Amino acid sequence: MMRSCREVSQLISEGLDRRLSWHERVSVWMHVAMCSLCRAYRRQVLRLSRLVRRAFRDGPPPGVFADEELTDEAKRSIKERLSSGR
Amino acid sequence: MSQTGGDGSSREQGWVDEHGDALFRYALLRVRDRELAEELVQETFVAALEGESQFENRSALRTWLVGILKNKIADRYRRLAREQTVGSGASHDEDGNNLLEQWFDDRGMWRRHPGKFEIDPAALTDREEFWQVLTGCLEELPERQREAFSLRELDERPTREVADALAVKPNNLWVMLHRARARLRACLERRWFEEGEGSK
Repeated sequence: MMRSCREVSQLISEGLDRRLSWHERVSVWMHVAMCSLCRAYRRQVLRLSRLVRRAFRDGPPPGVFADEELTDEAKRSIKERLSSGR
Repeated sequence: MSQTGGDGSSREQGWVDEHGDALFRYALLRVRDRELAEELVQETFVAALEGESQFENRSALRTWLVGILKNKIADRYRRLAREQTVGSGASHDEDGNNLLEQWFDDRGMWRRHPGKFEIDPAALTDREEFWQVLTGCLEELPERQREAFSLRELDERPTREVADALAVKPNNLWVMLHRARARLRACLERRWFEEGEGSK
């Protein structure tokens, strides 16, 4: 049974969150082999996910609240808490 | 990176100086409240100090600290989910204008091309403007979709944990994430690849 693009787009997303069954994986693979639109969609979704996950792994990526920082008071308070904890 | 010297406390002070702001920015992005963000940063450093024996150069200090912060954020969501009354509309996300439905015709085929743009991670990773656009697009998501996406893709929590934190079943979560990714992709196509820096 051939799946529709709608179903395949859902499975492509779910593949990022759960293990697809062998049957699901094969039907996605076969559909994508024949459908350039779903191929493009899959590429976009997978790359976006990878890009986002990597960029946020070590904290905020550049440009995100770039002008924000802890107040001196907050830093002082945290440092005090750390030394008193020992 | 670690400071030698008799006074051990100066090393943790150094952690705060070197990593505090980055942690704060991340927390601010995720919880949108300065006081709460400060609290989370403090909790992170305290936990780091306590769990220090588990950190043996397995990864960079920044990555490890950020990982602890992400745990704290997820903890908070879980706590909120537990405290919420039953039947508070948490079973699905609000998505009156379902983008996905518009993309496909009656037979489930694409109505139009998903977008002839390519995401080039190498070119985008360091672009400040891109991340400003992306976080702007995140803001446009319905709240529950934004929470789901943030927990899953920014904080990299396992699916089960995200579902619990949002008090939904896994298959509801998958739909929420699919919709969030679809919306985000469409927003980026418009604001970055068509109208923004990405169009140049």
